Amino acid sequence: MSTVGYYRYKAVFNSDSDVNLYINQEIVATKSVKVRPVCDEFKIIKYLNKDGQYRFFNFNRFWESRDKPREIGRANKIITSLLDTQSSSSSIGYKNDKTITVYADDVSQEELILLVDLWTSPRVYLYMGDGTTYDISDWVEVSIKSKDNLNRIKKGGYQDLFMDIILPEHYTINML
Amino acid sequence: MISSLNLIQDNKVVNSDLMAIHSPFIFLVDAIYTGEVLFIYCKIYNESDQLLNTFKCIPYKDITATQRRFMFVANSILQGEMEGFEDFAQSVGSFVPVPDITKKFKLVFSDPDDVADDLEVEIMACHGVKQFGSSPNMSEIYTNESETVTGVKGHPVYVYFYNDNASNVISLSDIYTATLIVSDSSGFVNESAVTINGETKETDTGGEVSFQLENGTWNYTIKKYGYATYNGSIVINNGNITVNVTLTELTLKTITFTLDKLGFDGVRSVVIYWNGEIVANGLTTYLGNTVDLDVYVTETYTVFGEANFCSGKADYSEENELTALDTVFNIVPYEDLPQLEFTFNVASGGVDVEDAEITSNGVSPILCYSAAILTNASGIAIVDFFFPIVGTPPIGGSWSIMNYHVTKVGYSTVTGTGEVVLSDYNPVSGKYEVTINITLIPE
Repeated sequence: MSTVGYYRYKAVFNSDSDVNLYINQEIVATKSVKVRPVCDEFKIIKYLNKDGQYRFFNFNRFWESRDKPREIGRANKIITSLLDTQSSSSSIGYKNDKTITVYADDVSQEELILLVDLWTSPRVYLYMGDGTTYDISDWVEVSIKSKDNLNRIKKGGYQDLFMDIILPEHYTINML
Repeated sequence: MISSLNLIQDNKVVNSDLMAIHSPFIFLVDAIYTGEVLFIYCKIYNESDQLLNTFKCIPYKDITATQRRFMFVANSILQGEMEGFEDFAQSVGSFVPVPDITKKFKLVFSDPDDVADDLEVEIMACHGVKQFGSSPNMSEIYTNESETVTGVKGHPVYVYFYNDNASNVISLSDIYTATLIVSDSSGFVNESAVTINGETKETDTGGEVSFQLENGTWNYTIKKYGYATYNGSIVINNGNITVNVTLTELTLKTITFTLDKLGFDGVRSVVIYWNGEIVANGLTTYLGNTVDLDVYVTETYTVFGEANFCSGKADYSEENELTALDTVFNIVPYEDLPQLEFTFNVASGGVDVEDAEITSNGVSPILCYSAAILTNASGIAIVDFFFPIVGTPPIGGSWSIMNYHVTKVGYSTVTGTGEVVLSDYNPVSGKYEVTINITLIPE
């Protein structure tokens, strides 16, 4: 007995591979896994595609991050001594918006077509683990932003890709 | 007053049987009316026809003086009714079902005054990002068409397949037959329990049992009383396999089970459980406290000794391994039972009644007592005994301990149930104390 609906196979591949589905001991479907190379300190995102399936894509190590800290606000403070009081106000706290710009080299036309769903995906996650585990807790939900991506058929068929990954607001420090 | 409701925009695209809820979509309904109409309702039902929510549709624009168009923005609401669809934890190498990405809903647009006929719209909502104007279809989504999945080298990737029939046996590799033939020193062993991959089957008279398995290494366990438990593993590699297993026979030995007299006064039983089944049991004699039982060694058993609760001790139940060297096994109950005290105040017409007898179910003397229990000159009788109160009280909040009868010649018998609740416990005395007031009626 089995369940009607989708089944998901989770596996690690080091080279391009085929995965076969057997139903009642007969091959009924084959899906091909095309493996992208990686380098140290790469970035991986996971996103929900138009069919409700999670897909992965990686970017190279030449990423940039930008922090945009700003103060939340200040509150007045009662001055009890003019001799040693340094300020008449206290900081309420700070917050930081962090954005990572990632790049991918030599993205093929086929990969670009598969990535179309990324721009409008309702669930995009960035891998924040150390590479030894791939648990749910190693992923943080993010939002993405990109300039217009032109998918031009070029000689050689590859082009570069970049986009901004906006991490959730954090580092909020309240000092009151 | 609304006379009719008409659906103007249903969000269906030609040849599409799905609505991608991550696209914006708005239902437009025209109400033909007279007088004034401020809103219409939209009720959302799930596949089981359960009402999930009711909304008011807001006016969009007036088409004519008697035709007003209402709008209902559905996508964000239906997103809330769908599964969250976050990713879930899955171990590498596993092949598991995933939540369905579609859900049926029924939208019912209705007149607040319930005059016009309701307008029903059935939709199949799906997770997905196909924008309005595209034509998502179940045949496109629920498919096993060849597909290329991008993976990251050395990093887990997901590959999805679709199963359309619950009777299918699905796998990622071909299934092969693993046959185990179980024997002992004298021949085949039947009815031995073989467990592989969470499935347990028994060997037949030829000692054979078969399992359908994919490629890989599979651990198995074989159990039968009288034999040492056998643990092994088999490797399936693109072919059927037959494995011969020889079980080691254990030695049957007579063990004398001795009950500690203080805790097990009277004729009491000893029951031996192996793997959840009774394999030996016996009764001790009244004056003696031992029973000889034959069990196989070396094995682990649950030894159960039934206590006489008049001694104030609970039954004994504990797992123990009996080795080939064991000849005597002593059972000493160590758990004290809670002590109960029922105080009976017996009176008639405001006058204390002496020599009224207290019995249990009409039987005298009460269990654990050697003589009848009679009220004293103050009409008081105290009944003390032990009882295995465990856990929380049953429904009603109390334990029913004793069906008492209070009798005296010349009076009608009074019956009742002595009940105990947790709050009856007195930490000073260490007993559960209950007072029962009895009024006897002269005959």
